[in-house]
Parts: sequence; structure tokens; C-alpha cells
Amino acid sequence: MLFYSYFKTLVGKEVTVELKNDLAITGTLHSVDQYLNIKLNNIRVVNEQKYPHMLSVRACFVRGSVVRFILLPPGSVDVELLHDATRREARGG
Amino acid sequence: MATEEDNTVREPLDLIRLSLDEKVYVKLKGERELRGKLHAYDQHLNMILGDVEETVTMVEIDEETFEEIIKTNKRMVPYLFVRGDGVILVSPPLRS
Amino acid sequence: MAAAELIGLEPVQAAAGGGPPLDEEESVIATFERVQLVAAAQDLGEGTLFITEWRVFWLAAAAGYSVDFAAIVMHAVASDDESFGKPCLYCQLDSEEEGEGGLGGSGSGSEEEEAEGEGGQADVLPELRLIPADAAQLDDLFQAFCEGAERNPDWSEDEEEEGGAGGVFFDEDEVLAGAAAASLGVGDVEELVGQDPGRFEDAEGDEFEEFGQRRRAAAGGRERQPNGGC
Repeated sequence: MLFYSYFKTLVGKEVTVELKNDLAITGTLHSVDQYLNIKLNNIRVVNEQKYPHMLSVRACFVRGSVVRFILLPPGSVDVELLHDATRREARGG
Repeated sequence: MATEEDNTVREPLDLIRLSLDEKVYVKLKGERELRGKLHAYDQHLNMILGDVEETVTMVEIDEETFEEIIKTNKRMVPYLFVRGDGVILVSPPLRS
Repeated sequence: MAAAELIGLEPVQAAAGGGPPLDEEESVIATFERVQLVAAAQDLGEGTLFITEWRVFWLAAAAGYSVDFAAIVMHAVASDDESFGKPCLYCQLDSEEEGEGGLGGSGSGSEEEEAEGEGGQADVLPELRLIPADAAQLDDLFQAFCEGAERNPDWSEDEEEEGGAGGVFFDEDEVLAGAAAASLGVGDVEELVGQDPGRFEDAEGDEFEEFGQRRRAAAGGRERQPNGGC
């Protein structure tokens, strides 16, 4: 639940989701669920060489299991908070 | 299950717990490697790393000589969430 | 083979009453009339879309297909522009499961080459476009697909849940070798292995045996592959 809780704090922020098939989508995080399925709005940049038509996409839903990386906005990463939450989760889980 | 902060390693994830805020090496599927500071993880090995250097290794075959050409691409990412199902190996820094 | 089947759509025939051929305990949750299906750039015409608990049916007079929500990797609302022509729901399907043989072979050589197939990618992208005649339905369609995906998380994920740290193995030698890699750089791992060829051997003891095998399967024999030096 750690990452689910964390991603909920990023709603409204801009992230880049990189899928296992190399598609990269940048957009505003609209919502996330417990499976880390991701909904993005205001999609702005994608690797257009491979998926040129993705440019006209305005909202998308990405299945959590196909996510490879999510690039996080540096300003919204509270390192201390993450450390504490991780230690708590390690003890309780 | 460790109930207090201690330095004993009883199960694999304890080893990773001791690497919090330390530089770790992560090997991923698809010939990808990450080096970065570990800021968060869970039991699935989902992670958040900071100051990450990603290295992607590709092997291409030279069409004329049939020799293997190994190419590596590197990039830096300030903060990166890594989905645990792609992780092959996480190594803590050397204990000195 | 038709493009639709090539990208993993299951051909189906309408049931006696004209509806989708449902399994037991399956029911139609939502229906969208007059939806055009374009599968891997091949226009299949207009049909009716049926949403059930775990999959989507598209039925037309000439053909019918189904796809599981679990196989839909992403879906998106695409607005009107030159590459789409009309507003549509754009879906990408999982290319690694069904249809892998077809995709990997790439022998059929469809007329529409969408991507340059860089890096050994399949040249047919596993894509669907669903174009409702009434564009106002698009948001409902998007929502229905979101709910379908949320109802159908991945199976493998559920299994892992049970075992806690499922799939994690612990091999101190390997971990230390990896730690050395962290501080030295990958090229040096080769050296380490050279000094101690047993470093990547499996740990002894029965309890490690199973993990060792799993690891080899997961790693796909990576020890023998060249580790790119810097």
C-alpha cells in the first residue's frame, strides 16, 4: 500500500509513465488504484517516432502491470517521508 | 520478522531495508541496470530510487562481419519509480 | 491470418439470439451500438460492442471478436486529428501472450507498415481503434474500459500476494557480487567472475534448489551473455 498511498499524493502532478513496450507517456496524474493502474490527462509528450498517433490522445489508462518506470517530479519527492513509510511497512508487512 | 530497528539480516528484504538511503545496484529484465539511492521499496520490490543512472545494453550483429557490437545507452533520472516485476537483482552497497 | 487474429483478438460467433456467446456466470454490463472496429489498421466495419465482467465482444454481420480486459495494456481517448480521422478509443493489446508466434514471425507482411520495426519490434502493432458513430459515447466507452480493467487485475499479481515476498531469493554470494558491481561498474563483474567462476553457482542446500531454478528461468541464462563494458 506504500506506493498506492504515495502515488495518491501525486494526483494533479505531471509524471512520465514508461511502459514495458517502450512507449513513454507524459501527462497529469488523474488517478491511481491499488494495482497501480494509472490514469493520465493532458497528455503532452510521447516517443512519437514509434507511436506518432499518440499525439492526439487526451486521456489514457495504463494497466499497472505493464509499467516499467514512472519518472517522478523532483519537487514532490519527500525523501524522509518515504524512508519512514518504508520502514513502517517493512515492520508491519 | 524484525520488530525493532536492528542490523540483523533474517530474510532477504532485511538486507534491502539496511540499504535505505544508500546507493544500490538493480538489474532489470531486458538488459537494463540502475544505480541509484534507494528511497522506498515494498515486498514486491517496487522501488523509488534517486539520482538514478540507467544503463541499457543492446547487442547488435554487424551485417558484414557478423561480429557482435555491444552498445550501451545511459541516462540520468532525478527520481524514478521502478515496478518490481521487472527486477532480477537488487544489491546493497559493499559492507566495509 | 487476419490482422485482428494476428494481434490476439479471439474470433467468435454470435449466440442464437444474436448476442455474444457468454460463458456461465458472465453477463453483459453495457452495450454500445454502431462502433467501428479498426484492428492493426484494418477496418472491419461497424458492429455492436458488448462489455461483460471480464471481456469485450464486438459483433458485426460478417465477423465477431472478443478480447479479455486483462490483455488490454492501455486505452486512451484520441481526439479528432489527421492520424485518426475521427475521435476514437485507442487500445494497445499485450503482444507477449497470445499471438506471439504470429507477431514474432512477421511473415504475413501486411500492406500497412505502421512502424519502422526498429530494434526487432513486430511490424504489426497490437492496436485497436473503436470509433463510435456517436462521438458523445466516447467518454462512456473510456469509462467502461477503465472499470473493466479495474475489475480484472493481473492474475500473477494475485498469486504473489499470497506468498508475501514471493519470488524473492537470497544468495549471499551473488548479492555481494552485485554489490561489487554497484561500486565498480558492470565491466568489472566479468573480472570478479573470472577470479571465482563459482561465484554465480547456485547455493547448496535443498531449500535453495527451487529458487535457483526459478532464477535461471527468470534470468534467461544471463550469466553467459556479454555484460556490456563501459
